[in-house]
Amino acid sequence: MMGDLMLLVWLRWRHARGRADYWAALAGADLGSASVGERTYLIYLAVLFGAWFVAMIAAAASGAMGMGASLGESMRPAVVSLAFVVPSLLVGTLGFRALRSSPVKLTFPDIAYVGASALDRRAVALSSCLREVIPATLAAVPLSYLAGSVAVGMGSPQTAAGSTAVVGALLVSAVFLLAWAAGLARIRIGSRAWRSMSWVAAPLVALAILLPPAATRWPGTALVIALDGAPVAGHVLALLVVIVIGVWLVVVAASKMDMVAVIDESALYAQLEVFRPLQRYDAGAYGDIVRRKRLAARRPMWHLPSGSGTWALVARALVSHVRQPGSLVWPVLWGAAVLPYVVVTVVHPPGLLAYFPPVFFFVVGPSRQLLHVFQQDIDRPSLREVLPFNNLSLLLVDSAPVLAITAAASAVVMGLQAMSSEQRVLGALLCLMLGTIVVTCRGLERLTLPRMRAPIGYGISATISVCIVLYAGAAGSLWLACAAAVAIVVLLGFMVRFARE
Amino acid sequence: MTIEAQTSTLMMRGVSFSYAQATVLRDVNLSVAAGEIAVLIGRNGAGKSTLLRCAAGWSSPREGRVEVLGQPFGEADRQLRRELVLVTDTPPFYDDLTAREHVSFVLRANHLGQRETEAERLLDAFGLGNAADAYPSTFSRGMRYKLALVLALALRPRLLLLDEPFGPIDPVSARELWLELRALASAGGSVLLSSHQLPEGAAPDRFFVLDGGTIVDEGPWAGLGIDCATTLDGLPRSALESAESPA
Repeated sequence: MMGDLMLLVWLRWRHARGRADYWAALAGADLGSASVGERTYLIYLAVLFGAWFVAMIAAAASGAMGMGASLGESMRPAVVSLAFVVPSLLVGTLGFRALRSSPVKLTFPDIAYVGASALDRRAVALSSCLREVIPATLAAVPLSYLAGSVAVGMGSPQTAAGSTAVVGALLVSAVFLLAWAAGLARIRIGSRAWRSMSWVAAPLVALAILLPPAATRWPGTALVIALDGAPVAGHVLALLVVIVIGVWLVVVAASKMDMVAVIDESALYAQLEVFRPLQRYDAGAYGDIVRRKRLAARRPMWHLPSGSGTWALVARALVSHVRQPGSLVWPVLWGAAVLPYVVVTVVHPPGLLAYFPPVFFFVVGPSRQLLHVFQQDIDRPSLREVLPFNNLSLLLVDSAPVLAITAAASAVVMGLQAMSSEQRVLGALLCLMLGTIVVTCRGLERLTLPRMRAPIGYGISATISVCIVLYAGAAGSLWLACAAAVAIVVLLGFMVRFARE
Repeated sequence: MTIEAQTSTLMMRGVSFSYAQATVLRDVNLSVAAGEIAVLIGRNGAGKSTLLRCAAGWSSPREGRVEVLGQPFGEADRQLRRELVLVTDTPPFYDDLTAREHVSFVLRANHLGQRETEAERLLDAFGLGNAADAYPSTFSRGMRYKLALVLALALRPRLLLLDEPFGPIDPVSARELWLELRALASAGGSVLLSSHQLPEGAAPDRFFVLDGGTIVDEGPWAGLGIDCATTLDGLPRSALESAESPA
């Protein structure tokens, strides 16, 4: 097995070097050159970026401590609850991912030359597993350190940051390994009967380690102790034992791994791998490809409801969302979190600097995903031509399900706010208007106004719109903010109506 | 049952396969004996590539049984994988390995490092000797296919599955490939290839006609008395007509 493992490590190292070549070239360096000047430049780059990274982490840690100090001791119970939720979330998501389809993912060349070769299955699984576990563990170190820094700001000893970094990283590593072992056990030879439903185990285990008794809540307890700055040597040792057991389980489970299932379940990953470089240049376009490929791999659900004219468009939009249930996450996210956050800022105007976060989330939030139905209509001229609707009607009707879900989620969240009834109603209305602004600004980005050469970017139109609403809220009242939002919606509506594709 | 005891290298019994929306193979029965070259003929979309993927253990049939050298894919997976190779119609390659590094990696992955000399001979025979230190991404489609053939032939598999091998390559290389396939078959190997054309003078041992996911005709090639280079296209048509005509 070790010989095969070394061969695969060599292969993955070559891939990593290929990616490093790309990033080095961006910094003007040539990894292939052996000249002294080039080597010196590489060392200079390494030192420069290393120092930059350390400085950034130090600055972020200082900010995290400041945040902890501003939250104060009273928020400690909330942080403790969060510490119990994190391992549970990790187990739930990683377990679900590993149990839903093979954790070993092969690209097309991997299928041909690794999956279909005589390489030891354990080596194939272990090399794939380590390729995922090592970067995740490394990423967990600074993130856990920052979480520990928040605790330090709240009054924990200075050692809490380091302890949390160690415990957090080991915890991530252990959960990854155990999830992999479970995923590999699922695809062992002759286990097909229960494969499709095995993912149910992930949320159940996640729930088990979230709820009492104390013994099952150990991962969260270890994290809480680290955040408190108490000695964690015993927990670190226990986590190391779990990691060793995890590696052993991965190797044992991989010895019976069904390579046909691995190749079968890698099909979508292999197709997407071809497009992955596009992610660097146009994440939205890559996201579209992922969506299409996932959709193509599923059996079509639901039939197109009957209806003509506008109702046919609504029916099409509904079918599109039902067949891609993941698309419904985004309107819920906007309606339940981003829009109420902006409205709460309007209701309780903070200092000038505190306006930055709501503007940031409103502009940078995942708004592109809200518009995938309209985008399909606009991006395909042959399709657009056969739809007898102006751009505004098309945009609003295509987005009707999204706006309805956003409005419903906002209404629920606003109803839970500690505000007067009038503020709740106006808040829900403002959420609806802001949701419509997001959709129309995104739609406007796909269109060009008369006498303009290029479309108005979402960043510009959304920033101006939300700033006007926030300013109106700060200057007057929620009523004024609502009136401003309605005026913006009307203006944007006119712009969309008279813009061309 | 030992691997050596088998005479039928590939056996498919009652194989059906579906993608998410469509049934691609229906109750396919097929066997290829040791030392035999069989050709799989059929129209585009007939299910040839899917059949080859099922035979190679790259896809799992919904129903039926696939046996290679008398064994199903499963416990003996690794042993079987050493004995069979599938070359797809658009063979994939790693972006960051040269052609020669691909050869070296594939041989080492199959614990056959001693065959590098043979692989070098094949590279030269297919006209890739001078391009062996370049990345396959710089190759033409034909060169990429020839590299995949070199990788496959260097392994000397007991069962070689080729998807449309003669389409992308030049006539000289096609002739060379046919000689290599014949040599492999003479040494006891089996070849199942899907193709719309064969090199001039090439005569396989058996043929299978696939249509709509079903084998509609099969038999020995000898005795057909046809010049395959000119009439191969007509074979599926005549098989379909005979299958549709009332008994």
